[in-house]
Amino acid sequence: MRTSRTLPVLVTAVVALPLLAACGGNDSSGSAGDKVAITATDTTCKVAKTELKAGKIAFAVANKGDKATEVYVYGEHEGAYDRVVSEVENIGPGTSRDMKVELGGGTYEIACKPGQSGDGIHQKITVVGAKSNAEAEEEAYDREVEAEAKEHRFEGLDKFTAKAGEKIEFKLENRGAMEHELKIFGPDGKEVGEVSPVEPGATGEAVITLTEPGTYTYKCGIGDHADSGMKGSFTVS
Amino acid sequence: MFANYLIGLREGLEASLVVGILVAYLVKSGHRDRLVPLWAGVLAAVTLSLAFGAVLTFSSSQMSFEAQEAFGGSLSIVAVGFVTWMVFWMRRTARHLKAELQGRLDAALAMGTLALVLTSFIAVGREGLETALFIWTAVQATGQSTAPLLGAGLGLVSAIVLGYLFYRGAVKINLAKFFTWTGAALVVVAAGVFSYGVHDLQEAGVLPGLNDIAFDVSNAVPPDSWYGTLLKGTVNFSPVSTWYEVAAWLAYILPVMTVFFLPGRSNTPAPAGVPAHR
Repeated sequence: MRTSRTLPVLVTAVVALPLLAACGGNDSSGSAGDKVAITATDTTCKVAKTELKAGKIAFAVANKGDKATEVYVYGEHEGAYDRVVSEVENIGPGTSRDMKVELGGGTYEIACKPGQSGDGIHQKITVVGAKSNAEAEEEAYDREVEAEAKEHRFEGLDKFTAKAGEKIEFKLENRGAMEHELKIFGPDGKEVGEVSPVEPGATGEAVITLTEPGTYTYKCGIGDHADSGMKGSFTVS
Repeated sequence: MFANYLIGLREGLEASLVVGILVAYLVKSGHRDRLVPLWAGVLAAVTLSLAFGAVLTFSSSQMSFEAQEAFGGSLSIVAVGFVTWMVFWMRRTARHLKAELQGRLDAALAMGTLALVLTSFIAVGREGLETALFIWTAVQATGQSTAPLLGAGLGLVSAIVLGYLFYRGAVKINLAKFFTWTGAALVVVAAGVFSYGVHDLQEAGVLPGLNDIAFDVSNAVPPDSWYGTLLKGTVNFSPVSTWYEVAAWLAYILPVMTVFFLPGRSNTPAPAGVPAHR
């Protein structure tokens, strides 16, 4: 019988594929926020929150009507809301389905389509919190280094070295009783960046790109702190 | 309850019909021994769909909307390829059958077994994921009400019963008619699957023209009516179709049907000796 070879292959496929499916093409929503409820009936489409934060959003669609429904998220395209961003279909009466989408800032429309036809009932939602450029810039550093400031010493920078071109986030925690800052100067003596003055007990940070190789110096530029010992140097290779 | 029933019926109908036709074909041509790999393909597709659906339903993993549509759409188009292959393979073996060329029939069947397994697998698997997701949500709802699961289950059972009835009817008709009608039925089903696949790819953003509607008869044929359900489940008729879908349907069905009904040899040499007009 020639099926003797086919069956094991199929069985193997059956066992292996869900495992593959579990790790391929899907990503767990790590920031499991609260789900946004969408309640659909035969005549209404209620979205629990119409102002949402950008990022991964999980909608929980509950069909409380008597008709099967489908729910769409439409994005804007040339003034009309007809770009399908996401869709779940076949939500039978009495069932709930999750719909996970990733939305950037902007306005969208959510449409429930009772009877799974027509334009459906639309509800506008606003998604806020698209990152400003400065914030995005700030997030895109290679690594961070943490330093502490006390009267009158920096700690945490003695062993610090970097490679030319690295984007470093300098974090300065002020554990002293006075205000401190961290100014950084390149090999040519010009300032390349600074962590602005930080109140006692607070933390400040700055992302600085160390473009040139050489010896960089740093100091606290407030009062006579530098002369009292708040200075040092590190090497960029 | 009834709405859930219709969804189950619609999702299960097409696969049930295709499998019914394939089973009828094998029984009719006296190859019951080939039924085992066919059912293995069906079983594998059902198991896989349910497993995959469970992973997506009960874990936090997800497939993006585009990925899901692109997956469904691509699988549809692969399915069309296989069903088309199957139709012409059946047509060829039918001729051997009539000519009693047992040896050549066996050779064709040897290659055909793989085609059978794959076709039955894809026919069921194509809508399998969406159906599995639907079933699992009905299972999840049983905490509040068992109506959704009952409806969905009954719908699927009805689809299988209809497929079985089709098979019984198909087995009864005489051989020549049988091949013509089942083949033509498969071509119509495949055309529907093809246009449906195009629609999925439009939704995934792979193809444009999602909002260029060719016709909208959803008032006359509501998708949630029983006849809308049957039309959708058998020939994939969408009450609202885009121009791309219509074009895809025509582009498939016209040439394939023509070739299918061409008499005898499929590779007729071009008529020689026709003087060319200058």
